[in-house]
Amino acid sequence: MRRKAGLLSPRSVALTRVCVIAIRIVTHVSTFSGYRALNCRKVNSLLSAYLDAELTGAEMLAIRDHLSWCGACREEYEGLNETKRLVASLAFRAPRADLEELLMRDAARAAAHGYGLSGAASRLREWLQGGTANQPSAASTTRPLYLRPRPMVATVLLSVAGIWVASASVDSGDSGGPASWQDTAGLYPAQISTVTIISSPSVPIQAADGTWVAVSQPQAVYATTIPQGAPGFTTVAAATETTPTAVSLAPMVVAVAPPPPVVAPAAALAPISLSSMIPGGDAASAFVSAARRRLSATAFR
Amino acid sequence: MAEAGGLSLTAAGQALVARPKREFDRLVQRYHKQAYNIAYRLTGNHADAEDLTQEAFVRAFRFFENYRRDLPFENWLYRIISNLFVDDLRRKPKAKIHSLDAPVNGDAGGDGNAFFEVPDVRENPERVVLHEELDERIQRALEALPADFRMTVILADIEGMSYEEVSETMRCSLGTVRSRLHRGRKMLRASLAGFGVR
Repeated sequence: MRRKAGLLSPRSVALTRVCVIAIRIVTHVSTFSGYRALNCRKVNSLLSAYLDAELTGAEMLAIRDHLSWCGACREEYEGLNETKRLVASLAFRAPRADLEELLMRDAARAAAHGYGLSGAASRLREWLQGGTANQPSAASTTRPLYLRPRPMVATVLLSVAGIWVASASVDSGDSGGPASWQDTAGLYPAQISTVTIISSPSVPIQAADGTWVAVSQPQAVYATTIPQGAPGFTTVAAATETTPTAVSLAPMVVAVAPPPPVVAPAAALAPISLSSMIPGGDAASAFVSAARRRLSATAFR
Repeated sequence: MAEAGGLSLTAAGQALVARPKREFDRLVQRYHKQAYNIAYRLTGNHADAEDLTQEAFVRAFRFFENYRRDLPFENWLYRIISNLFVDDLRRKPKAKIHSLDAPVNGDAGGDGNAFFEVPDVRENPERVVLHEELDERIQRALEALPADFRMTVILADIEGMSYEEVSETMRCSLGTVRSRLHRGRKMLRASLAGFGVR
């Protein structure tokens, strides 16, 4: 009874309480400050993103919670916020009134030098300027195809080549010969009488008797070999063919010229088969056959 | 133009050649002021801003063919501005360094502790025109930032782009945008500390 009374005496109870509180304070402060230091660093690094609402919902909530009790981070946040608002409130600096005109003139000057035109237009332009007056040189005959090594473009080209080759063979009555096309960006053999410049997904199918016809295009200058003077090429085929990639063809004749007098070396005229030039050449051949059938059924009936 | 070497352009051909220029002129009309403002905030003066804007538009026109139409034109243009500006800085690094310690015009009176009211659109719908002195001070603080940081801050805080747009425009990761912007703002904050920013 006495012992019990000793243990439960107000003095020892108070002492025990003090000890417990002291232990709690020590552990709490250490974990609390450790937690806080780590957390503040993390929070600090995210404050700008928090300010811009560029965090996940959970992160936004966590930081909002942190800012509700952490004065140091809140102060940092306010400072960044003010900085952001200061920068955002900078006056708009207007240019002098004639800058717009100046920029357009700059562009016009650049255009005069052949810059900035779409691929088709700039090549057409080269063609016009260097054009038919120039004799094809050895260097120009070795110019690479303007074919970009991307399957998508290859497919577009395939459709053009397919349609064109088909129309050529139908009209010239050459049903047995191999389908062929050649790059004529640099060479102008008499045998080739058409240059096709494809532009936009709309691709032209061209022609004029024994003349050069340039048509619009997306990325490349292509030409097809057709016999000169082949009849019936005055038709601008209005047929809309859908390629495997659903590119529709719509013709546009952009330039016409008489056939050039130059005959390229025989080697340069060697036909290149579609299947050797285009990835997936078998599909190409199949497509050409289909195009031939469709064309003979529509545009050339 | 219509005739060359016996070859004549049809009306469609002429239209084809003229089309990109017309399209480009429309874009000039629409974006030149915005581009100029960014150039000004990057360079800090009208002469350089004008040069930068002109150079950027000429380059844009020259490479107009490469412009992917699915990317907003201004983003593409700002990328050009950014590239040009960073190149320019690399070529003549000393030309762009300003001292933050030098007094701003009219700042010699010792009013460095003055608190400037920051316009808040929520409370004041009319845009408060900041005092020229503060504008100048912020501009100098911007110019003290590394070029990449400066561009990031301008795109995010002046143009109001999202981090994703900035990363697309500057061709860097979201993490890089986040870090550049944060560090940029911290540096700005430090620069403007005696100038009303806490």
